[in-house]
Amino acid sequence: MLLHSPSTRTAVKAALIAVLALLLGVPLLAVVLAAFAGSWNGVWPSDPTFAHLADALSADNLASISVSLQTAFIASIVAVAVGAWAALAARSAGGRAAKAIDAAFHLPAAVPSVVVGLGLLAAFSRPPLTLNGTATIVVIAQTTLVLAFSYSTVAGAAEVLDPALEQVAGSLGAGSLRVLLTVRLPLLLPSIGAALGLAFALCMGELGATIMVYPASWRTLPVSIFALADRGSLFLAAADTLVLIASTVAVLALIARLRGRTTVR
Amino acid sequence: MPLAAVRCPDAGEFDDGRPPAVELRGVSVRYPGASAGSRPALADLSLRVDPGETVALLGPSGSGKSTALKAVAGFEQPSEGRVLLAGRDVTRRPPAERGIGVVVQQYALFPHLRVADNVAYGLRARRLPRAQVRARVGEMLEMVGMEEHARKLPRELSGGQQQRIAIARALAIRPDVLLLDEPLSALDARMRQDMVEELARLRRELPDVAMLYVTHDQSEALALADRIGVMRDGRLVDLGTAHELYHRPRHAFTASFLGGANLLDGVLEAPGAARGRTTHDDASSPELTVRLDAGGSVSARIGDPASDAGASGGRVTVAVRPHALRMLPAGRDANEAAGSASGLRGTVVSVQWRGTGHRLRVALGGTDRGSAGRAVAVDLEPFAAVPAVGDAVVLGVVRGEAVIVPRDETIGGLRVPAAPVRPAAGATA
Ligand SMILES: Nc1ncnc2c1ncn2[C@@H]1O[C@H](COP(=O)(O)OP(=O)(O)O)[C@@H](O)[C@H]1O
Ligand SMILES: [Mg+2]
Repeated sequence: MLLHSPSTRTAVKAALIAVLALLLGVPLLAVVLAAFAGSWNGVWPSDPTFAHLADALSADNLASISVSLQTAFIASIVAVAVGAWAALAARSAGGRAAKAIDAAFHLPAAVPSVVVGLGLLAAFSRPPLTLNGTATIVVIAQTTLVLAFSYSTVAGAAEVLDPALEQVAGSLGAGSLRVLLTVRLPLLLPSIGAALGLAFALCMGELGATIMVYPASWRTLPVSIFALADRGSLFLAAADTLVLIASTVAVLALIARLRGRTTVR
Repeated sequence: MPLAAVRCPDAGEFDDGRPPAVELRGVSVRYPGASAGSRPALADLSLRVDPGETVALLGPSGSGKSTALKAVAGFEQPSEGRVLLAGRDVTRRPPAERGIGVVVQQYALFPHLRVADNVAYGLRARRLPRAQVRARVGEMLEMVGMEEHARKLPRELSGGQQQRIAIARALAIRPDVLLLDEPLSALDARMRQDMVEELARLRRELPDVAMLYVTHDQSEALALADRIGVMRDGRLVDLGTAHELYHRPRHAFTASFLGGANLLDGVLEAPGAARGRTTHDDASSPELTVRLDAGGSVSARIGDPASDAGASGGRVTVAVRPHALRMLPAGRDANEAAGSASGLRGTVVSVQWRGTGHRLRVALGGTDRGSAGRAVAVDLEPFAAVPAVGDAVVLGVVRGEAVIVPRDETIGGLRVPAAPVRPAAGATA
């Protein structure tokens, strides 16, 4: 959209900021305020305290953080590895096979997370493969859910990769493994990094499927937050949320730094 | 239209003990997704390139030149035919096993690798010892004059510099065959001229490397190639030395594409005379008189002695390059002054100043009804008097410069519309 007059441009900007503030700012501000509130009866909270935050960082909760981080790490890495491999395979296959792979990997995005959770429970609650009650089923649930995003991020980049590069590499004597390792993967690295960040952030916040499959021994942070909110401990839930956001942002920053280093070279 | 027209039929299979560096035998390429009935991107191409020889494939965009090159490189699988390298059938072998140097249209340098690593790519793929790789990379960078850029990334180089690196990378593996796909098309005119000279030098330095050079620019083909193949709609329509194609085009398409000849339809005065009276020698080619549809007549040589110009009732086309047309002084009787043409009257429809001289467009037939696009182009000699738009002029043809080619109704652009006034009754003479 081309907006030429400065006044309309300012108006559009103001509207955009207002919408963003309502959608993101207000809930986030409320969470921050609640996390430090001793009580909240009027319009604004009162009796500021660090007690909730201290609780959120207690041993019990630290275990939840650790579970969340571990699950998100494994699930996002597996999802990106599988997604990238499928994206490259689809590109090499071309034609109808590529379309089939494309459809298959976009399917999870169209299925509600509750359905994925239910499906996993139904599939893995009895022999031969009993995963119900293990941490594995949580990882599988999250991997399934973020697979579509990892796939489409890498597939988008693979699509615009100049086929001439791979052809020239081949003509210079490189076999397909060498072409993969020295041309395709290095050029796809930025998109793989982006997919990793996206997948990790989505996993850290996943609730719909996780809450259906998680065992008591493997409780992720969002599940804890949901349980606290459900019990009415809003302040403690808010403090946990802050911790969740902080740890997610920290890991994303780390990934961004690694990406920056690999792409600049 | 005949198949690949081979003028000087390639000599025996192993004339000097060496098989051709590249040989295509009836190669057709159909891209997947192309509808079944459509013409293939490359149709039945047969071509040989001898060791040390440079063959240019010349043709307009979309004529299948790149596809032919990809079939040689192994980037596309022929649907029919065979590809041989030094006598070895490689039709089903992957590019990595062909050992061919390839420079593609947009260079395709690896953007994440430094210049030196780009050049070293093929050497490392061959697992050469590190010291050898370094020595060879240095040698190649020196050859293309890019030593001081070894540590740069491709995006830090100009188009011409990227071009040099792409050539160095392709030649580093010491290929017997080098394929170049419009290597100069991304450069500006000035740069292109310099690079043509540099490629000519490279060719002298690599006397054993066979080159297949794809271009749509006739000047590159004329400057660099030993032989030129003219491509059109996926087919090789003509093949020969630059001299042969320029002076004795065998098709209207060759004449108009190589040198931008005007194509004038007409009828042979004595159709029977075209047969059997011709020899291979330029000088003794008989001049035949063609009565032009647009009025007047021209004496012209037959371009290809093997073709039967007398066929189709003597209906032929005369190809005349713009610089071979002359404006005759006004007022003089055309019949006596024209030399090899007479009664070629027309009206100037446009005058264009092109730096080195003027180009006129002249609507033939004595009427001004032809639009500028369908008129003949005439390049005036330097310092010649320049007529004004609307002037009636009489044209002459420099002796020996008009060539008779078979009529081909599928070529547009330079064709002169038949003038309705004069039915060409002269064919009975
Ligand atoms: N990858 C492709 N897929 C489908 N059709 C193609 C492809 N590449 C080229 N073609 C078609 O094949 C024909 C010849 O193309 P090309 O060999 O690139 O011509 P040129 O190099 O002479 O410009 C064109 O009609 C073009 O549209
Ligand atoms: Mg091309």
